[in-house]
Amino acid sequence: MSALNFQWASLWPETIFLGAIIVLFLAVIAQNRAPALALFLSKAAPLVASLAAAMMAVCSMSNEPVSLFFDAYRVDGLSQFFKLLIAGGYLVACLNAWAPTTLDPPKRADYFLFLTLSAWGLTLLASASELVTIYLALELASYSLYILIPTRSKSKEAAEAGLKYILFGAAATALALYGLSWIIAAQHTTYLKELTQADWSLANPLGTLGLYLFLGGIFFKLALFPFHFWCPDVYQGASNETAAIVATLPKMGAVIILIRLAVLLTPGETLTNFLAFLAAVSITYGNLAALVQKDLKRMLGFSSVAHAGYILVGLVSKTPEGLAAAAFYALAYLLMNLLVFWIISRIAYDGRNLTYDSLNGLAKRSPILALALAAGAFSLVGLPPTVGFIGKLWLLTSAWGHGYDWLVIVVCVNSAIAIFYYLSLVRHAYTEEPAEDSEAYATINQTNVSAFSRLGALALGILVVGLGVVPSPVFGAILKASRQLLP
Amino acid sequence: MDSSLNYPVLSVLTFWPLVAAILLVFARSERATRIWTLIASLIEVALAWPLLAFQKTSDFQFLESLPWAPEWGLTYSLGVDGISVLMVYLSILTLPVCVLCSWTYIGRRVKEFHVALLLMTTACVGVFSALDLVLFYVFWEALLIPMYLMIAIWGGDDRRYASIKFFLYTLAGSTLLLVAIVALRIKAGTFYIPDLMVTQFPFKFQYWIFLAFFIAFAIKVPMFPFHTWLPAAHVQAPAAGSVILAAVLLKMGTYGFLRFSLPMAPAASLEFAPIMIAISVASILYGGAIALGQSDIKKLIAYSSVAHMGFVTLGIFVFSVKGVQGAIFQMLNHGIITGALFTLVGAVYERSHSRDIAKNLGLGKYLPAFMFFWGLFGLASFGFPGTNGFVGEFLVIAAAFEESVAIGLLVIPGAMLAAAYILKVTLKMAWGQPASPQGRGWKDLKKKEWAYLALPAVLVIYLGLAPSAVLNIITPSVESAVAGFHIRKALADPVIAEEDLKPVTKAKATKETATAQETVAAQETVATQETAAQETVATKETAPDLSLDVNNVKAASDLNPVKTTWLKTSLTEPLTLSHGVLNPAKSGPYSPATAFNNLNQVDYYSLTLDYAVGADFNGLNGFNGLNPEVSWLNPEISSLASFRAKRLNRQLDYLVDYKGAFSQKGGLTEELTHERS
Repeated sequence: MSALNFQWASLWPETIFLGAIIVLFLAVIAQNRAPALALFLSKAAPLVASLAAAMMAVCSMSNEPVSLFFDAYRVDGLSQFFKLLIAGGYLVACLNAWAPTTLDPPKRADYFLFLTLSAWGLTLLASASELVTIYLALELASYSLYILIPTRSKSKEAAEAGLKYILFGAAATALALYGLSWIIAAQHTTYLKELTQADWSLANPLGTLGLYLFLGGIFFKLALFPFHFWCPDVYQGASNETAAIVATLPKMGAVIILIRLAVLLTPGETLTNFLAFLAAVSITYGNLAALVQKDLKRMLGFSSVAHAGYILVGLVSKTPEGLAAAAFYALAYLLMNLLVFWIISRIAYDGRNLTYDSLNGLAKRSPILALALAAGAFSLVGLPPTVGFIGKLWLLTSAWGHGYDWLVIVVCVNSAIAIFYYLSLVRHAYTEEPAEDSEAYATINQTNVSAFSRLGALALGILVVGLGVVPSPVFGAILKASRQLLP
Repeated sequence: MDSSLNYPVLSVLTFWPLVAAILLVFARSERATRIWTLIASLIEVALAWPLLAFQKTSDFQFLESLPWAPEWGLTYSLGVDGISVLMVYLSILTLPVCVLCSWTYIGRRVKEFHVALLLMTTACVGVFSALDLVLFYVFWEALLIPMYLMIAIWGGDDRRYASIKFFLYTLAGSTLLLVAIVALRIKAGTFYIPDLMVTQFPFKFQYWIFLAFFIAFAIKVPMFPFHTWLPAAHVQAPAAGSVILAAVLLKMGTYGFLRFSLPMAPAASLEFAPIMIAISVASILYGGAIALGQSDIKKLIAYSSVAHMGFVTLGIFVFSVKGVQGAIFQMLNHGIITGALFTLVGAVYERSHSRDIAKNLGLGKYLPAFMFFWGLFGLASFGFPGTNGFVGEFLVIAAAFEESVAIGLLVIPGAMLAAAYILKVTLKMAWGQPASPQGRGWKDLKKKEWAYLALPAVLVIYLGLAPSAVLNIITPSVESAVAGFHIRKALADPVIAEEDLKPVTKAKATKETATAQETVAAQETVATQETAAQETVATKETAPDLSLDVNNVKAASDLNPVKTTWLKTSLTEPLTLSHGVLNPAKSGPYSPATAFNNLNQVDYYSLTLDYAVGADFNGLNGFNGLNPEVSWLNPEISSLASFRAKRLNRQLDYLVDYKGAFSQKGGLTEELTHERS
């Protein structure tokens, strides 16, 4: 075991986020005396930090893996890739929440402080390679988010959602912690490196059950069935901007941990089969439930339950290609959800919750927003030529032939279910006109079609389509990184 | 010709409409939009000029290949053979027709409409020229989006229902196509279609692959129980949408059967052939019968599409050269004729604002030019001799009769129904008595309408009188496809698959020859008749080998008597192939020259079979001009050597592989120098 190997050079993204947190903390303190300064800091710090962190993550992605802090912290290609995702997602989330309509202005600095804390926790999570470290990073990321949900001003639903998130989160955390104690008792170690050598069959029930419980905590973050029930409620209750964050960033953290834990799985074993089963149920349930939703964010909540299942498909085969496919799909998921939430936040000028009807006539109001929404919707279904398609294709290709052919078929059949509600987004945006007496008609011209909002939608839309057409550079890098984990 | 025009033709053809669509952003007015799209579509047609240099062989041509995602073996590969090149032409020529027929038909959201039109052309050309499975799937699915929007935005009153039904149906069908693509990739290790087309898959695998393909393609065609989306979509779609739907989109299904089902799952195709033929006949009869009862012109043509596409699938699933030729010809015909009929419906709808037959009576008086075209395409639609419709339908029906008289007899009423419903509607439209003096003010065809109707009209007559223009292009590909189909079907014969590599007992070996009549791998059973040598040949009997007993090549002789003659007279001395030495069994002198003289009725299908059982085709290079009676075959024969060498060497690989497994068990008499890496 290496010593307290402390290399600042490999910890740039974390350090940068920490710096931003300190700046934001100062902004919170300065809020009463110098509101202008606080506003400036709360705008500048996240931008600078996310750009710098993303850059540093990219630069260090192809470096040799480094283990730090007595092997509890591992900086490798995958961790840097996920730090890039987190920094990128954080950047878009901050831009999306540039002028949050349902947030009291004095709370702005606090909002970004906790958001940044959460992102920092997630970057730590991306590198954590020891169960206690994972647990701590997970909690750091979660607790900061709990505070963000109820910040939607004058909203009882937001308070309810916040409470739900905290209570369910606490229960899931307790579950994970309990499982952790069993793992320690059974395997006498918490290091992932050593846990890979351990026996995870049912012959060692204590450790295996502990792992199940620990995974439960992760699945809660990922909103995988049956740990999904908070998801639609929280999305619906939180403000649009906050929902965009909750829907994307924490999931990245959950995925990287699952990818690291996937090394423990062997295709055909009970645990792996169980995960495959959960994936299938999650996909089917998520899609069926989303089918009947009217509220867009609720629909997206159930859709993310389904997408959590898709990501698991890459983990059951225990191949580097599978892990890379899961990581790539995480990127796809991040992009498509940010894109759709971006557009929702632009249309909901006063921060209201949207229904399908609110999209009516979008193609006329703003062709670019409508086009980007269509790209996002078709990507969520998995139609080519989008990143959602290519990501799904690789998930399927990695799972086929390892005893999970049935799972591949379940995924494909689900596209046929999912198309209906995603297509509704496009249908309403392109083919429906708002009825003259409807609420949508009254607020029709309030859509934010500024250059900023169109540019953001265009950039995300180009990424969603572009990565679907030219996936190879990104995927090649991820595959190289995942070979470090699973040669 | 193509040295001066040296650009990646297929890529340019695929992506030029996309570029044109992006350039449409700069169009300032509706008129500019229309004119620019028309110019772009004419440029597209001009860009297809180098495609005329298409060599009349079965090879894929105009190949392009770039790595796309090397991590998964994905390539960006384009290429066309005789089957797809016609479909590419069809897709390209449909574009200007669509632009012109929408000139006044589409009055709102003009720019979006033309963008959708151009995107559809990109997807159509892409589908027919893609040589990578994933690339194919990308274009296949990408076509849905603009088509959906076209129906949903510019459709009729019931457009919402029709568009969603269209999208759900076709997408649901293709979900399993994706599963099949993934499974093929894992099984064969490649996404490259020409490689997959010559890969030998186990029968059980073929079975499931075929089913997955079937659902996707049968919905697209659409075949009888899966057709319900079609009338709804056709009726609601704007004229241009109907044209593309009929001319191109439906062809994707039958193209899929030809390109994927037959080559990749040949044994399963054979297994399902009775069902496929039954469904095809049902489509023909059902489509015709329902069309007869329609009062909406568009619905009538939509149901006639179901019937016409039934002819196509019927032709495909009798697995004969004639049938497949007819099927492809019929695909082309249906594209031209039905596309043109839909433009005509659009034209009359612009005048009468109704698609009801009863509201469009007596047009012979007011719109004579319109009725001329209607009559022409109508005649072609029910296969009147002299029109292209006749050639396709005749080939298919002839092939059906060759397959079984019963099928042929069942199809005949379908052809008669076509005449009935077309003549019925034509009669009413031309000479019916309108209740009120409607239509006096209607103008007959405008110049634009003449322009876009002239092209299909010329093609209808030209292809009807000179079908060889098309047949020459498709025949090599069709023959190669059919031959390859029969070889691989035999190799994946269930009997062989089940007996796979198990020692075959004497009794079984005899039985196997009897049951697996079409098994190309000729079995060594002579030994069983030689009682004296029983002990010494005991090992020989355990397995079939490559020694040919020409008296016992039942498979080939059943299919082609000429072949037996040839084999009897020709295979006497050891033949050296690239994969090993074949030691032929006891019979007369090997004389390819005499053999070939016997082959004056040769069809490529049997030649291919010969090759697979061990004839040395390189020897054929020397035959040019040997027999004046067959000299017309010579150009094709010289190209045979090259195309067989490529494609059939692969097929032989599998054959040798299969035999090689026996040789390891000591069952073979001759030495196989197996060089496959």
